[in-house]
Amino acid sequence: MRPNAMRFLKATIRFLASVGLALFCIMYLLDRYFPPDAQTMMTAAGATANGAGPDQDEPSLMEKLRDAWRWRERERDRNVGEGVETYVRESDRREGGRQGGGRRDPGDADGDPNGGGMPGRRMGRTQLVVRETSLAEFFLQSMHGRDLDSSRYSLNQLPVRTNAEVAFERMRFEYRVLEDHYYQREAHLASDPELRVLESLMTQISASPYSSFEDHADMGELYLMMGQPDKAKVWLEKAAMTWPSGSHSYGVLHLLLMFTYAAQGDTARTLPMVDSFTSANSDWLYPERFMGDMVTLEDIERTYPDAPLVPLVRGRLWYNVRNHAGAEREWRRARAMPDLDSSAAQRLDLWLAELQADREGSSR
Amino acid sequence: MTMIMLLIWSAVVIMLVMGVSKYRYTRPPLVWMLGFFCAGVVSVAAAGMYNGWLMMNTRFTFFSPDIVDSSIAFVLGPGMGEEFSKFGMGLVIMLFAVAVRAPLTPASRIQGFVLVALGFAVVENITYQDVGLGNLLVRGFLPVPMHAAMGFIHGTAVNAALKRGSGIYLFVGYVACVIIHAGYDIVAVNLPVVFAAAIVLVLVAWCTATWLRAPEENPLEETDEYHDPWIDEAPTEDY
Repeated sequence: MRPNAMRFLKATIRFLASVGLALFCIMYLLDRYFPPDAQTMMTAAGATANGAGPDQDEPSLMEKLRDAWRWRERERDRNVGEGVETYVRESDRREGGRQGGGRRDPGDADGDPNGGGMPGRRMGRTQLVVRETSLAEFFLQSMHGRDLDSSRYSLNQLPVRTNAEVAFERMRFEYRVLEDHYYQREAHLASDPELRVLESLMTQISASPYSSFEDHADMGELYLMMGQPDKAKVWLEKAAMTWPSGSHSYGVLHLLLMFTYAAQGDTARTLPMVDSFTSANSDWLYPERFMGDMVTLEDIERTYPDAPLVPLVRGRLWYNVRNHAGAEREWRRARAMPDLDSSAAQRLDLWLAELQADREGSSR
Repeated sequence: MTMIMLLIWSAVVIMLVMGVSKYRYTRPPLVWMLGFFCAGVVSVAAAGMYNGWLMMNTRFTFFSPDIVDSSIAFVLGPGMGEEFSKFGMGLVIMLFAVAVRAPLTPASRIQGFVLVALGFAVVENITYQDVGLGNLLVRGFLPVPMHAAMGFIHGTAVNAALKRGSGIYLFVGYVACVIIHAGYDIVAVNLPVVFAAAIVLVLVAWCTATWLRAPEENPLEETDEYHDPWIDEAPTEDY
């Protein structure tokens, strides 16, 4: 081989290696110092100001929000639950006519807790409509006094809002949209860059004097998802102290607190909460009532793989919804973990023995 | 059929013009050309993943409302990422070609890198096929020749590096492509289309001049058979 060719070979390998390495360094720096901002994510979510979505065939998020708001206006005087069902039936019929059959969300709560684990934030259609209606409310409130047709949306009925309130509602609206967009994905990790954007937004929201107990709970949930249970505990306990009454939503908070204590390995707080969970939140005995609201349990397990109390709590949830096989599987996994303390181990043994006795009783 | 024609017509025309205007005494090494084209097709994967990562994980997105952010995105994505992907894949084929002493002439090396770029551009066109037939037709006049021009620059850089045995020409060629590609994208997104067309016209003029000057056969100093008769051969009786 001629000397020039050999030099060319060496130069080529040197070029590929050095430019490739430089690109990797650039990627690391970008990931470290230039995470996506809220505007980028809003654009990715299709929630741009003019409502143009990335997919021209699908209605954009804004169009869905406006659609949901129009429905809400129509159904104002009727029972809310009935209204939701009406809207769902109508929209399903429209979709069925257009697509030749009804569509079912992959994450729909279908009442089969054995199949692929509990669906989390991946919502069924009814839940999505309720969620979007709530988002529409945020959207319209944040836009109040700007460029909406006030006669159409009866905005003159809304209370007068200060600029600071409008700015605050806009931030909340952005947070809800980004959060929904984020949770529609299949799997979530504590290192997801979207969480950093959500954290920056939520930090501003919870620092505002207009923030409420719900914002504090959201902040706690966010920190729980980010793998920071100590911070999550502070915010969730603050929300729990100011929560006005025991409601279905309070059950979500109860659940989040329970998982936070479990992630911290705080057996003394976790076990009493596990014991009182269903008695304090009786409607949570029915899986279809809570699946759409609940933070994705698989995501929590992925974030805290070595915390033995997490599968313990999860097993108890399975047990509450009569999924004994799922409960046993989770409890045995928790039992095999090395960090499990003696009181939790004792409780697990007791529960497993109860399960065994139940099984023998039913087989007889 | 119309869609397929719109996707590939420009690439086919460029290849035909290059073939007809150059190969008078030799034949193009078709197998190696096919290898270059496949390398171009494969290079889309790495570039696509890198661009997708850039869009999802950083604030530098191509259509960011902030012109500085979007310009940086064009330098990082189409500029650095896509050009490295194309150039890198073409260089991998060149490594094999040099190692097995493939009969590649300066012209066919340039054509090889143009084929890498055209393979990339055709697959890129496929990903853009939902923009409408009119836009696809326009893509045949603007981005596809622009990619081909980048291939010309790559090929010219490789010829210079091979001739002089220096890697600096590879870096120069790569940086030139990064600047031109990113500049073209920034202009195309932010200014009327006539400015982008002007860039493409200048590039095509330069490519035409380069192509006409590229030797169809290997110069003697690049072949293993080269020897200087005045030095290597014994003097004849006549001499």
